[in-house]
Amino acid sequence: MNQKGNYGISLGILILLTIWFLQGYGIWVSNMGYSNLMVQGYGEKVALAVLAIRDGFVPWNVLPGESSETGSFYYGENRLSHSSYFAAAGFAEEIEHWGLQEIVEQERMTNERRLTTEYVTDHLLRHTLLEEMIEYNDMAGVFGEEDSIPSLVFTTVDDSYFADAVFIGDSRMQGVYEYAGMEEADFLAKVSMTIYNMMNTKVSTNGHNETIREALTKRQYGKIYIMVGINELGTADTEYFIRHYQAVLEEIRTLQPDALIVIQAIMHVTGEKDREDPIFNNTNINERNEALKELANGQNIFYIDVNEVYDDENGNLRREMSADDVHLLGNCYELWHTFFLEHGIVYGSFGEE
Amino acid sequence: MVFSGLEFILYFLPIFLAVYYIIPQNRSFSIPVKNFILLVGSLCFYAFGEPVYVFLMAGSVVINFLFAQGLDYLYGKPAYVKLRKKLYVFTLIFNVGILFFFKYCGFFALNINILLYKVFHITWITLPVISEESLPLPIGISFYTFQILSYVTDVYRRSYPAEKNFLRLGAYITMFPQLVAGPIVKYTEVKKRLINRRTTMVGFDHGLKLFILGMGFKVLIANQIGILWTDIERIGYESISTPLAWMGAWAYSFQIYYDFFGYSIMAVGLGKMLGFYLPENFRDPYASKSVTELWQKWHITLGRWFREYLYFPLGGSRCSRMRMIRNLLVVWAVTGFWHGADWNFIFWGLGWFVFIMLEKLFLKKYLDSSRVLGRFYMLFLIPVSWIIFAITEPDRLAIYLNRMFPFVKMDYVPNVNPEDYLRYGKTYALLFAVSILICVPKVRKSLMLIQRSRFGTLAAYVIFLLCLYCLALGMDNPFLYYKF
Repeated sequence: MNQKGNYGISLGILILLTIWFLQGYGIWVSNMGYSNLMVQGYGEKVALAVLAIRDGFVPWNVLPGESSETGSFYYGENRLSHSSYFAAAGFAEEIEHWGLQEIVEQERMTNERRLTTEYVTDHLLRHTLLEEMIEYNDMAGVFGEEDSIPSLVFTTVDDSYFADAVFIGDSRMQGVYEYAGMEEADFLAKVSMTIYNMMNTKVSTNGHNETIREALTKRQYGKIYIMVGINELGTADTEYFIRHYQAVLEEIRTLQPDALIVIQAIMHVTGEKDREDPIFNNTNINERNEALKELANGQNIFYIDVNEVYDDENGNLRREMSADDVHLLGNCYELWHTFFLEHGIVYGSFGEE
Repeated sequence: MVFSGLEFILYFLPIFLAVYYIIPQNRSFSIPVKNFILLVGSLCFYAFGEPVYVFLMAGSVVINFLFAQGLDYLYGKPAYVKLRKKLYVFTLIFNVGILFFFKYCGFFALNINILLYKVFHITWITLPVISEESLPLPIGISFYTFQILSYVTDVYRRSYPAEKNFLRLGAYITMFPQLVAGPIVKYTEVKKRLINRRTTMVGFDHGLKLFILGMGFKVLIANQIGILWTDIERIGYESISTPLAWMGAWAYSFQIYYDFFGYSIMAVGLGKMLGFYLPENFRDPYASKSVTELWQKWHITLGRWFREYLYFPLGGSRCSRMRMIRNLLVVWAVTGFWHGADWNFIFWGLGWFVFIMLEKLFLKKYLDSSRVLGRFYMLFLIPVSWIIFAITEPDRLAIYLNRMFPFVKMDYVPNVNPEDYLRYGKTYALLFAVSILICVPKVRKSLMLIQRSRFGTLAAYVIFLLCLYCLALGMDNPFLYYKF
């Protein structure tokens, strides 16, 4: 038995100890309520431990007494998951019991808007818009219809409409960025973006190199399109998702007081995927879309659903449109562009709903 | 079960090794008991993925054990010469028949139907085409069938007597390190060790590190660079730029190499831990300067098998030029077909045949005269060949090749983002750099030294942790290849 051989034994023992440690840690974090619907089968606990450590779910961040009291690691009746996504969105926030609002407030205090030329022109433009509105109002007064502030309606527009628009979203928006040929618009898209990590996600589309929070603080946009939700399906339930979505909308509203926000329905998956996948199926997507619809107020938050373009007769993404059952093929994005053009939001003609 | 799955690394391997090592050495019962454990362990390993087909494999081993006994029994008796030959032919038909039934039935039925319909306009007869879902291919059947064939052929040729000990033969064929994806081991390579072997601490040390190195190749390189290939599938072949098409082809080439190479190294490492020396399967194939050289270094044990059990029996090259060409043609068509039951695999094999013929006729002289020329030639051939290998549908293959060589206008709607390759280039630059680097023979060899150095122990542990991390991420997102 030479000396070299002993290293092998040490390595073997080290590996075994590592595995045992992770196994134990995985059991502990899952008892703490950390779980992940996607992680199933052999080695589940070990994988869970690795993911927990990645997400910063370490003992000194998680004190058992506090967490069970505030319920931050328990959700709903059946301990539905708080997976990695949520943790990545920021643990501290959750422990602080939805301290998001405070954070937003702080950000607003610290980030005073600079009066750049860009901002001034922007502001002036908006001012003109306001005057127009008042004008409309006056006319309404003339005609004796007190309440009819001109309402915003969907109509067909041309590409110049997107000059002050920004598209925020996950891989589906990334696809639009790359293949829909929407040169005018700005894009803040990144693969695997979720509503939980959205504001902190660093994007590199359109030559940006900043987080979405930074981008929305720096520049003012006229229209903000949001498309997230597919990655969140494995995480928590619809109520939790919507609550978080609402909070993000509120933050965007404080950063961009005058922008139109357009919530996009989550795009469907194909029928094959729908049948096979317990998580990423259209039943779950529709449930969340229904809830997203409720977030729109018809005044400055709108809801549009691109599925009407891409669905087959059964309400699934058309099969020939996708190679992986989730994303569109490169040459199918043009339809989306057309859809956006057909759903421009402008002030409707007088008295129209 | 695959070597790079958590169930293998966390459960099967530690438990198996513990049981295997707990048996004391140098006793009269040591080796038989270890062979028994190896056989049972291998069957468990196989049964995990194939709970039904494990009986097919076990039955196959028993029957071939008996056939080989028969071949030995009939040997040396003049009255039985013909009978012996018949038995051998029957054995061949039996084994190839099973492989044919599971792997090629669907393909033949489909093509005969097409032939009947399109050429003879016969509609009243159609063969039932068994779908892959109703009759899945047993894992590793191509590999273990070839091992069985080599064994019975060697016994028939009297290269060695038939094995009388069933445990040894069973352990040889089902041995889990090589069961699923090779290397295709010859019985002579493990026979001595099946009769008597020692498991040493050094063997364990080297084997474990090699196993982890192989796992690193598979999990950290092949799986990761393979994502680019799935990215391209997601975009659709119609909509990729020409640079991205070439990047994708290279990504696929690296994926298939590091996947297979990594798996082979893992097999060798596992073999060492158990006291065997399995043959190496890859020797820097991508550093070749000709197709002839590539195939001496790519999947070596398969090339050896075809040479010894098909090419030589056909007459090899010791015959007329025309016959040699015929022999090569047969060997390459079969090699292609072995890789998969579809036309593109046959074309892929025949493509290699064409280039090997060209090299034999005149090209090799030029290639040998200039290293640069040879490199460029391979740099271009390797990705194109793997694209033909990767894409089964002819129309989609045509589109991809058209994207690589956009000289003719084809009938499809492209929507190319001309800067796509920049984005993917940035994402995959590091992986490409590492993949290219390890193709250099010197780098690969120094990586293999991981098994001998003290530093290697630490490196192996780090690689192990990284693999664990990547595997856990893969579980977090079961669509490792489909991040939304």
